Amino acid sequence: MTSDPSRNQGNRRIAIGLALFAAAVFLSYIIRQWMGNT
Amino acid sequence: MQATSHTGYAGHHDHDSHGHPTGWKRWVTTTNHKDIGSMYLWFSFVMFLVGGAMSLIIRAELFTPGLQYVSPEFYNQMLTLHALIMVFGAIMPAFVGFANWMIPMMIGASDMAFARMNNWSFWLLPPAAILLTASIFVPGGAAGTGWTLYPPLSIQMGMGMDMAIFAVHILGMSSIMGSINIVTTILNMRTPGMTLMKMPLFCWTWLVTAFLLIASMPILAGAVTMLLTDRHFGTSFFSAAGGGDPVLFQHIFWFFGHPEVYIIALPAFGVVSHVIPAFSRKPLFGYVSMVYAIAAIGLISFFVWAHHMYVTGIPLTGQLYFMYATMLIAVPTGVKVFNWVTTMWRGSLTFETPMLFALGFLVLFTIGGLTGLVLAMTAVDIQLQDTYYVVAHFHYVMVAGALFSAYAGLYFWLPKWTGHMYNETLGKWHFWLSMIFFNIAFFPQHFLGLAGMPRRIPDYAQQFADFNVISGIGAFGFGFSQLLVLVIVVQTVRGGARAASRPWDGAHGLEWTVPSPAPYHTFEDPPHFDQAEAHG
Repeated sequence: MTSDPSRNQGNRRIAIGLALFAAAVFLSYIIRQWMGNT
Repeated sequence: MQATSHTGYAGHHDHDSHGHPTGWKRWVTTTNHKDIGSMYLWFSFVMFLVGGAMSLIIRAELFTPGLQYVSPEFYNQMLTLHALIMVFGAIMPAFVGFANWMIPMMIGASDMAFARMNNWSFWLLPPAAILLTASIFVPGGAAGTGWTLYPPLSIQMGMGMDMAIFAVHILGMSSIMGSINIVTTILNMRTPGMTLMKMPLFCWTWLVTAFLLIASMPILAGAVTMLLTDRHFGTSFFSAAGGGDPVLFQHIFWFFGHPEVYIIALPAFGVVSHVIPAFSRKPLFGYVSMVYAIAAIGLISFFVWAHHMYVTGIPLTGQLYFMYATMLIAVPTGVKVFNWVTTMWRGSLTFETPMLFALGFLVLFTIGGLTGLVLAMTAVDIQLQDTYYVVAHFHYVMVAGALFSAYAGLYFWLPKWTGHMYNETLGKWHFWLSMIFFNIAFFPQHFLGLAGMPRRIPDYAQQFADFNVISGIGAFGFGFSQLLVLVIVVQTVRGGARAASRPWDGAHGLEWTVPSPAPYHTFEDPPHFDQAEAHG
């Protein structure tokens, strides 16, 4: 089941999207506060 | 309830002999969701004992007025580590353990979507736990700020604070990776025919929880990173001396912290939504409304954070908004409670240990929810802020809510995991001792709070002595009765009556179609999804 290539590609797309979202939340908070502080 | 078996599992023989590592290598290198689930559960139990021991130090100190056993600084460190360990080390990993064990089996997947990342998610936890607990021994001791890590104290403390910050970073990475795994698994690995609205509710609660984690954990990571740069790199995000604002930290922390409450509560709701129908021998009442309630709770949890901050000087309009928004959460939560009660209505009820813990959850969590509504009211909260009323409230939610539900899940699924039935008599003893001692420990704390006893202090005025003695007796009774779990689980793993594939005749779902104990590999080919096993 996990060796299904199209499913694996779908898994990767979802994971990359979620990871980018998490990174964006993390960075946006810090950058926003940084800009506000300088 | 008698064991009945009608297994539709036409799948695979056990692949244990396929040459995967044995001994310690099996556990370090495993990518199997069942192994990783077991490791999460054992880890959480160990941390539960460590955090529990810390709470007993706190209660021992509070047994009588005056300073008896520990210094005020050490007391603060104990309450901080107790909270951090219980939230991040015990309760969250326990539900991740359930998720690892059960989600692939519930949706008919062979494993989690990213099996190796799953291994890494788990193995990040022990270093974080070591960082947290070892920080007691460094100069200056552990963080003594409370789990909220508020500045200015968190900017001033010694290197124990840095260790706590790094531990939070590591735990956050673990949670985010685990959540990505869970979302991907649920969205993309369900067996054909299992639409989202036919999916078991435990999976729904975890889907929403995982999104909450992915959206809120980076915020905590950002907050503690800014704390770290304030401490060591000359920034002044939260330092008033440099033009920063300590209250800003509170906003950021609680923007994470309130969803965190539901990150803990939602999977607990999921477990109870399986246990109550099984022991009522009825389908869950209002499945669709349950799903929408879960989503609504998850969404609203991001818009209520400042109800933790009524006394920080936020404007009156802000207080009013956060008060009404917080009260709004009672609506979907009420929907869930009424649905559980309605599921039991005219059901063929039996009261095995999982059902007892689910009912204990239902009664006590509702009390915790109601005191939450009391605290949501700004005018009342200004009186009760930082009193023992708040401590009582969140222990009714966290212990009687999350922990009781975790026990319901443990006893419910233990036969599936081990292939043996647990000792029902000991299980009932465990429930009743927990139920009685929990209430002795925490109910008097409502009165202490109403009388004005502040939280997070090692000493108190004479008039609070009586209720503190009662609370202390309850805490020690509750703490020691939890050792029964260890006895019961070890007994069940080692032997006992054989469990059928469906040991509870009212239980439905794909997980009950595989043999007990569940084979090392399950559903390598997507199983047939029978309408009889559907939840929606």
